[in-house]
Amino acid sequence: MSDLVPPDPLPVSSPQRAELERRADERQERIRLLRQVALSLVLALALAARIVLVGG
Amino acid sequence: MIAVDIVLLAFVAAGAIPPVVGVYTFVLASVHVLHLRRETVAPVFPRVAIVVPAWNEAAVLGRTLDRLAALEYPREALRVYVVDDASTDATPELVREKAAEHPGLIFHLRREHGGQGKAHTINHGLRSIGADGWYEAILIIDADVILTAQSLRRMTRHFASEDVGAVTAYIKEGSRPENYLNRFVAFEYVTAQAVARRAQNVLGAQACLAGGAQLLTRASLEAVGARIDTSTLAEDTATTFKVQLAGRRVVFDPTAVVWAEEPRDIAGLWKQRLRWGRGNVQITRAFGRVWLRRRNGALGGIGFAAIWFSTTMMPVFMTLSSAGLLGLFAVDRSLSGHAFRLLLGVNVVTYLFITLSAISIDPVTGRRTWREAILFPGVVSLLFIAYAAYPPVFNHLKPSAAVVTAVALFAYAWQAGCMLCAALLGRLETVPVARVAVPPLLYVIGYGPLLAAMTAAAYVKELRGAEMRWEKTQKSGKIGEALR
Repeated sequence: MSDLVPPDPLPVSSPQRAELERRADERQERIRLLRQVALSLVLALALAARIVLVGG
Repeated sequence: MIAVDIVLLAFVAAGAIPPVVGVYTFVLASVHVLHLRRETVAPVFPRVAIVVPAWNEAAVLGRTLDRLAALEYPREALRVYVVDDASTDATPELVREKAAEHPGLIFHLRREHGGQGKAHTINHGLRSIGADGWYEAILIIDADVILTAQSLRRMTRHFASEDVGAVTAYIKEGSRPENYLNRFVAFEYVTAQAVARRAQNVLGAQACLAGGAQLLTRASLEAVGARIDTSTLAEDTATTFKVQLAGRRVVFDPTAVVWAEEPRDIAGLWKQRLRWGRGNVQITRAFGRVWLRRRNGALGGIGFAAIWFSTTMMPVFMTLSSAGLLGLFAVDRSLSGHAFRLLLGVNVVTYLFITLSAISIDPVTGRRTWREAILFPGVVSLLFIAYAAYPPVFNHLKPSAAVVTAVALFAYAWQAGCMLCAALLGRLETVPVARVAVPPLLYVIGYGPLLAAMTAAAYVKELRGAEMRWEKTQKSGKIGEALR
């Protein structure tokens, strides 16, 4: 995040600030996507383990 | 006989539709970043008129107005109009006091004869402020909501795209001190707003501009008749559909956070959701020509219909599932067992995926509501899910054949019976000595079944043609001071 936060607060009407906020939003959404992918993999592994251990 | 089996199996499969569509919604929400990359946003500050319909809102309105005055938005581009629907409490005095405190920002519009409901009150405000041509966008909010400082400019930045006609905020449950029901609602809003509305952004069609904070451009409001729909109890949803059918996009901004106080008891929640549920039935009928017709764009797509109907028809799917299982039990007991295990298998996977995903999408709310997230389907359903997830845990019980039969019948009936039990909780709440038992019982029966029961009650009211009354949700103003 440090590269996205300006040293001094920019005015709310600043296009630079809007762009920084947009990039920060995008970064948060990418993190969410990665978490979802990781969660899906863990669940898929758990499901596979369950099928191996006790059958379908 | 095979035909009967197939029909009954199809009934059972209906029970899997809502959780499967739930997973589809979460998958769409996960790729919201793709939607963000397509979006054009820029610092745009149209002249915004904020319309606050108010009827006896003295307990909550002062703080709402103070927060509006603190918005990060150019003061010269902001006006707040409180449309006082013939309040009989201290609302008029409060608004006059705030108007004096913030001259040129807060205005008091008074209706001497009110009581027609929120949509009529908003329309009175729109008529009053529309004539002078000052405003370029209109933000309609509830009198009790707390807008975070950034929320409005986060919403208006989407108007950098000319095809965006309306923007909705992320409404979060903000009651403090909170009780068990507030936490259930808080978690529900993660799935119904943070997740479902992200998914709808990806699909390109929004189901509803949140009534608590809906921003429309003047052009899109005028395209739908310059007034809010008064023919249904879901005026916000009707506006959302009309704006999109008029060719403009509606988008959700999850960073525009608005806090709202939600009901603290089942009676209050029931009243609110009955209104929403009836409104959704009316919308489904009123926009009958929208569904599954591609000429209506994403609004007529399969994905949007799947999300809409999996929610609005939840009680139907649950009842069909129960009827299918019990029917199969009567004609082919072994087949009913296989079908139920398959249904439970789907439930295990979707429950884990949906619950963990919801917590991960809004971790702050997730930390606050993790118990309610886990117990959302109720302890009873969770026991069945646990059995499906890992049957050996239950092996040591060694029940008799009669017990197995009784448990199977109970489990099959529970798919729909849970709604009845949840509905009875509302009655129990009215008995003073039994009221204390309601919270633990809701954890046992489940908040999900309660939502389905309220939707079913909305069908009944609508089928009976009950009078459409706007029953206001009581608010106390107990929204946490620390909320930002």
